[in-house]
Amino acid sequence: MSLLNMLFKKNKNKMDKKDENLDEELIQQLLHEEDGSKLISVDINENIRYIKSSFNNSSDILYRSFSLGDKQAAIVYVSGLANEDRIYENVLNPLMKETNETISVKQLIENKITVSEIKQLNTLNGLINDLAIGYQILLIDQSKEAIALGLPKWEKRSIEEPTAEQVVRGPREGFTETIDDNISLLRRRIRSPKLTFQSKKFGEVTQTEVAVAYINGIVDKTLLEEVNNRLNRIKIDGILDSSYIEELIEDNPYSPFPQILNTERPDVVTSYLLEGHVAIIVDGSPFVMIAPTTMYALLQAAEDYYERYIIGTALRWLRYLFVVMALLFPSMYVAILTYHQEMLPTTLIISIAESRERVPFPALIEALLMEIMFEILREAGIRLPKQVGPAVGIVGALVIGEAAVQAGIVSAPMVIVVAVTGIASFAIPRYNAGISIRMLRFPIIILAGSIGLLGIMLGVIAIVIHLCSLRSFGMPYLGPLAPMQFKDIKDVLIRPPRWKMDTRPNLSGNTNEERQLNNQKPSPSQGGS
Amino acid sequence: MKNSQFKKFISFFLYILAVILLSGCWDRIEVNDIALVMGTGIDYFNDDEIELSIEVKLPGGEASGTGDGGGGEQQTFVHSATGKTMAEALSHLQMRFPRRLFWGHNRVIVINEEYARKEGISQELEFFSRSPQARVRDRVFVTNVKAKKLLSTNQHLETMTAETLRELSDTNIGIDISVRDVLLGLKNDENEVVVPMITISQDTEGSVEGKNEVELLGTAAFRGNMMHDVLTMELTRGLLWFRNEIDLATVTIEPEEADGYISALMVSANSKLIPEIRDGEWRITIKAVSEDDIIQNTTNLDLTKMDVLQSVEKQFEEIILERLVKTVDRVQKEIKSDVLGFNEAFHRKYPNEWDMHKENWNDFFTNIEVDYDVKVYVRRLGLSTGKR
Repeated sequence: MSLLNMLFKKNKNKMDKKDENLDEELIQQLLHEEDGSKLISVDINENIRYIKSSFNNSSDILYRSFSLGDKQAAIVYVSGLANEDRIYENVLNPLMKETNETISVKQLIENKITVSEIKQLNTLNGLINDLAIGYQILLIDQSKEAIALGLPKWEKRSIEEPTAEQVVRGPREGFTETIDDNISLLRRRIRSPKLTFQSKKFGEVTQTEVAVAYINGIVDKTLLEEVNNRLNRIKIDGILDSSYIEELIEDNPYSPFPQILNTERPDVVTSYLLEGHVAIIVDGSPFVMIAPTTMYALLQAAEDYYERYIIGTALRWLRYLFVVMALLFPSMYVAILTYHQEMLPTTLIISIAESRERVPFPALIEALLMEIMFEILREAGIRLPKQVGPAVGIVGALVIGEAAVQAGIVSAPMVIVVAVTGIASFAIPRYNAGISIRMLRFPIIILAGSIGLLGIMLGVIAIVIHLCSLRSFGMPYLGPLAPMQFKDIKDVLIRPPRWKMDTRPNLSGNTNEERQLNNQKPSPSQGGS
Repeated sequence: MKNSQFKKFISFFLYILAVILLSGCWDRIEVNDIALVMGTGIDYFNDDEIELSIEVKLPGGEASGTGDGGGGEQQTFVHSATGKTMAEALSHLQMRFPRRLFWGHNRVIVINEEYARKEGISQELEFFSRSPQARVRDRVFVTNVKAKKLLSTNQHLETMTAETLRELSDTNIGIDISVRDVLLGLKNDENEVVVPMITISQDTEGSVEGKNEVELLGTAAFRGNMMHDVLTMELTRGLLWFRNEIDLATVTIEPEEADGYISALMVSANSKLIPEIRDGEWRITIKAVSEDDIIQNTTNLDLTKMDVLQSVEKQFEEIILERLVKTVDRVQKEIKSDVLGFNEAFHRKYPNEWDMHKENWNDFFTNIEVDYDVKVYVRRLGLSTGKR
């Protein structure tokens, strides 16, 4: 126990130190802000000097001076974030031809500058912030106001098919790293004034834009409030991916299970928005988060809803089977082989016993060995450069499969068990759900090797208790099965036909239950021949 | 706040880890540390001791063959030891095995006839009901040769004798009896125990050298714990009618109307015992109904004619009736042990009357009148039926 205490003390010390650091930063920032809230000077050179010192003479800030009538003017922008063609065409060209010497900033905006996104600035702080985000700043001598122009252009990935969630039938667009594109992908799918985005900047340094999307009139207001409350707690220096936010706002940080759904697919986000969920879009990440989510949502694929509902239902049940297999198959094998040999059919136990005759390890060690081997292969396969990737497959198939069995290090049935488990876990459509189930299998294998089927039962009971207590933004993780919601259970046990999905799920969409007209099952009495 | 939650989590985790690691894998047995016992034989050794033989699966993939086994496909070997009880013999056996004997996959128990007649079977079978490994589903057989010798034979089709016996039992040609059936039969006051009887086939013409088939000899009828008498295979078929276990049967008649034979395959058969006590007279009706297909017809009878068919059906009924009568005669007059199930039938319907006779039932039941109600329906005549 003393060891434990030491561990925690150390941790505590570290955290204290971190707090101090943060305080210092905060103080500096506050000082900086006081300095920056001063107004834009009438002297253009002073303003430029101020910008230069603020950016520490950073080389990517460009200054283009020109004369507006007889006044001196300058346009300041970040070189990689501006559309220089349009700056020339819509700003420099009209302004340099301007002869009216007394023209005001207001007149300039109204009559001369042909740019749609434009705003007036009067504090230096705002000017610096806008410049950093990617606005172009037009400074005019003798004027207390500056103009921020929105002519952004930067290198970005085009919209591609999502690689992590592919479908045979269904839309093939995927989100990209650019939040504007992502928002437009959603807006194109929901052309309703009720679709709302609330944008906010997160990250003291990175100033990352984060948008909360919901459909007004369907979303549960308390849920929206909760999401905003949790988001507002975040004080962080930078956000590189949506997972940064996910870890800061989830309900149970110690759980191995993801409590927020990630997706690359706009159609998935749309369907959840229509059910009253809230989506959180983070600039720089192609993964949009959806809250709240349930265990069953993690086991659904987009294509369930695009294929025929009978197929969808069958696939869904296969997937439930895969989850059980990915979690329990190797541990079952270990438990039965070391403690309950009478449970297998005689001919099967005979052939397994024959194949294990030369294996030097107990079944538990054999299973752990193979499972770890498999995880290494999987990890290497993801991380390796694409050119080397196939080599991993060859090594895996030959070395782990054939050679290991022939060399008598593992038995052939164990290779089959590990392979089947691996395939089963890959069939879980969400990678993060699949990997958490795959990792949970290791403690269960150890339990199975220690106390047999009893251990498996203990492990499963522990997992089920944990899942029952888990909440995602206040919504029960195992809902609608636990607690039982009879009306919603249809979308868990089967994939209901479209004409049966008349109501929204009770848990998230209870403010606006009616999804579609009742009784739309196609039949001769519904019209048509 | 958060720290304490983490602390709780870690300490819980450590507790669990301690429980697992301290207990370890103390009762772990790998499959390659066990010897799978497939069949068990019990022989009479002397007045005090039994000889216990076990058929054990050879561990390797390729079998080395047992003794002078010709084909070498046999994947088992037989070993035996003596002891006062089954458990003692077992411990003696275990001394010679580097692997733990594992009874979970035992298929059959073969008991020598001499032993069953002299010592009875309950005291050794009881071991199987107590052992946590052994299954009460194991089939029980009685053999007139030495059980060890029977287990040591090599069969053509199966790689182990135990498997052969189990499959033979499953065909339902003879009766199919498990340890559970025997123990239940011995425990309650009702039916007497019957156990299928097997032997090594004497007809070795056409067999591969060193191979020997096992064949059903009939049924061993018990009186109480002791084996009492043997029903031949023909009477065993009759017995199956009373037990409603008849499954695979061919009946052949020689019709009065024409020369030749007609054979029929029973497609489905059902029988029922209907007890009745009228005016103090105990009677029981065996109602046997079967549906048959004609599978061979060497006569020139046209079975499509209704009256011919009815006559043929009648003759089938007579054949079956004859078999039933023979069985009842043998059981009531010679064996005098109620293996036919009359006891249970009366117990169910007339518990009070039955109670008066239950003590000396085996004497009493021989006087019960048996009525026969046999019905045969020929459902399918076959295409080749007709004139020739």
